[in-house]
Amino acid sequence: MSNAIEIENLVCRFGDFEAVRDLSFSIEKGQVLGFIGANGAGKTTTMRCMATLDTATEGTIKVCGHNVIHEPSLVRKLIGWMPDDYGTYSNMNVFEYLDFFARAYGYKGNDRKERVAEVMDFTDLTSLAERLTDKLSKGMSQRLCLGRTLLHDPEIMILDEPAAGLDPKARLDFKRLVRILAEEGKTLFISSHILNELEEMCDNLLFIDEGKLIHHGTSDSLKQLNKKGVAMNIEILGDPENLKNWVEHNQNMSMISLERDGAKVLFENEEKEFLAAQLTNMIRDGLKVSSFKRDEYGLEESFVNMLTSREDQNEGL
Amino acid sequence: MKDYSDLISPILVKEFRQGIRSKLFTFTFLLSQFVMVLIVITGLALDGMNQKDFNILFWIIVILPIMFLLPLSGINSISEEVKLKTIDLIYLTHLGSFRILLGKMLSICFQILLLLSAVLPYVIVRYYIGNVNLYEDLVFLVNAFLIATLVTSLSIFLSTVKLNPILKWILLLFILYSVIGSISVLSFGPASRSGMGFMSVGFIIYIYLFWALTITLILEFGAKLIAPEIENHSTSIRLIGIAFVLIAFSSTIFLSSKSEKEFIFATTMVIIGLISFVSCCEKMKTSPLVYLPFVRYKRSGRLLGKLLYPGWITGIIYTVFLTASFITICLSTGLMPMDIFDDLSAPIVISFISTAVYAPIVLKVFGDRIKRVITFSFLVHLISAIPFYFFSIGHGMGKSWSSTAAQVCAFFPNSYFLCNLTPFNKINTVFQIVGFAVSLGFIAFFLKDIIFSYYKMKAIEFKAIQILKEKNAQSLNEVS
Repeated sequence: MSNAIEIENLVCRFGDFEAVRDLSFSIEKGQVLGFIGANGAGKTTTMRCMATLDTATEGTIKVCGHNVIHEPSLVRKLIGWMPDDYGTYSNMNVFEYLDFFARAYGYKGNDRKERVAEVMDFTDLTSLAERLTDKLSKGMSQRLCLGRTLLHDPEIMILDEPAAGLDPKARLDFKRLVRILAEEGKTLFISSHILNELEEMCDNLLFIDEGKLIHHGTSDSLKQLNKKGVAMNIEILGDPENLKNWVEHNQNMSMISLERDGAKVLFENEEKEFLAAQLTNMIRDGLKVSSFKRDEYGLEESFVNMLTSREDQNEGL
Repeated sequence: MKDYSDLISPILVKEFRQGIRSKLFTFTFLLSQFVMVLIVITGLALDGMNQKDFNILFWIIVILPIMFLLPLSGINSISEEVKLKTIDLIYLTHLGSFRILLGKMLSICFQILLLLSAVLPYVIVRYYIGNVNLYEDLVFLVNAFLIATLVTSLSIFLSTVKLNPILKWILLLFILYSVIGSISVLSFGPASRSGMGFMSVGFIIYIYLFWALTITLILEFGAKLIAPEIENHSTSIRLIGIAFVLIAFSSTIFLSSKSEKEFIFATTMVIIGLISFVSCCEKMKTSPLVYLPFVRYKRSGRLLGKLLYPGWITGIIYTVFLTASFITICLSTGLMPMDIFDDLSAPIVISFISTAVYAPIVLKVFGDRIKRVITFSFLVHLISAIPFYFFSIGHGMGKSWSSTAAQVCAFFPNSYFLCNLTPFNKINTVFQIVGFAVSLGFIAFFLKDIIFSYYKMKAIEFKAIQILKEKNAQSLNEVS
């Protein structure tokens, strides 16, 4: 399968500040890729360069084989860019907003009207056609912005923090739309802070930190890479401090957090025999255990682990 | 109107839709209608003398929204788009920076026209009341509209400038000053200046040509400030400069009045000075795409590029070329526009050119530390203009003062030209040596930078040639 996006040795500098450092990766056509990084990691800069909005200091970006620097007009036809800010206008309704962008993308006459109607239908905006865009809720604005991104039917969609600030229903709506687009064969490049949601939507995940690529693969591969044992949720009768003291006096385990009725404890060995032995020890030592269950090791924990180990490595250097 | 023709620019449709729903337009429209009715009714009840006063009031009420309120509504139009990040979304469509600015300007102009057409019945009703010259009134309305479009383009330009509010207001005052100046020119005409008499039809055509070119130039300046790296507005600006010179040249053929020609040449001189200054302060574009349209025409294209490529290095070549062409035209046609000044005209021109060239030198010295290039360039320009003021004041006060002024000026590099091109060049040798040494230092630094930048430009040009070859090979493959 050919690549939708290929980035080689991308460097973006703003004065003395290096936002992106030697970033290289590629995405196959039809993939849904989650782009993850802490604030200031260089996500938006990378995405803006891909969308031809910023110029890279060094390196190359190719979209469907076309260089973004050499053929920006062609690339713009292939990509749809949805920024983190939805950017709507005052004194303009939903239809007029989409109509303006349809005109700007070169649609004419009936084609334009049909395309706007199709997009409004897809994003459930038909009933809101006459509503002023600055009077829309966040979820509606987000759908409007997604509609605008879809107007010229791009092959690749770059979505920057699309679900930020949305209520649960709007998030579900958005996920449904993304799923449909992925089924249609569009390549989706989504950045977000809500990692568990990305895990559900994306085929692959790409992590960057301080402008550098730190992981590219599936969420499972990341979890395996950063797994350091098993987290257990333990509840006891009585003061949770007793459990904390017990953990501190034993080896091969550490406290993650103290909870209301117990604690989250990290055991370095995840074998069943080891865990059963620890439970027996706890009871033998007088702790009244009321619950002992495995905690789901999520993407967020993996991401934080990965960042922490990178920080440790940097400090070691 | 629910739908607009596809022939109308998308940005114009958008801006017009937003504009006519804006509070400012609605308020202005309704208020002007109310005041018009009031004035016409009151005018009917008054005798001849008071009617004149009411005529003045009538025109003030017409002019205020047309020339100021609506045009200045565009002062935040681009900065708002930048703030809302919607400008990025527009860039990703087929619309370029110039079309965005043009659309915004035309939308305000249409709103002005709407307001004017609503005022027109009252103008005609006043004719039936009497004591009114309808022809003069209509000419005034046309002129007011033309000036309003100029103010609109300036306010749209201001919306692209990243300045603190105080500086923006200073620029705004400058606009208002320009408007008043334009009104005096259009209302009283060159007739009031140096016995020009009535304006000829040819001259009026030239005025309209200059008006259209000036608006295009202002919008290009604005587009240049907001355009992405891959857009090239420098070439368009320089071509407009050449168009001004050509139009000025054609005026020597088509116009007979010397004072009219002088007016055109003086205006051209100011405009090409501004264009040269901006060209000399430009940062070099690193995107080879900008060079592609030139390298396509092989050697001739590359040669033309040395004049029109964006960047300060070609800006200097362009400045020299344009100034030389302008002076040649002045000399060959026997028309020295500097006649309208005194005998300091030659130093003025040379000082002007040399100070324009200083800005890039100082910019190079400070390098990337300067964020607001245009503001900084203006500052440099102002400082380097000091010797001219010293010298002109001294010169005006007599020979001895002139000599002292020349001594002070000697520290400034451009004074070397200044003092040697006038009869009053008896300056102290030490001062002159110091001045000359400073000039040489500047020139040496400048030369080093010129050579470096020239080769940098050649490298980008070479990249553009490579891209063109790749593209040609690709299309050949596709054909075969």
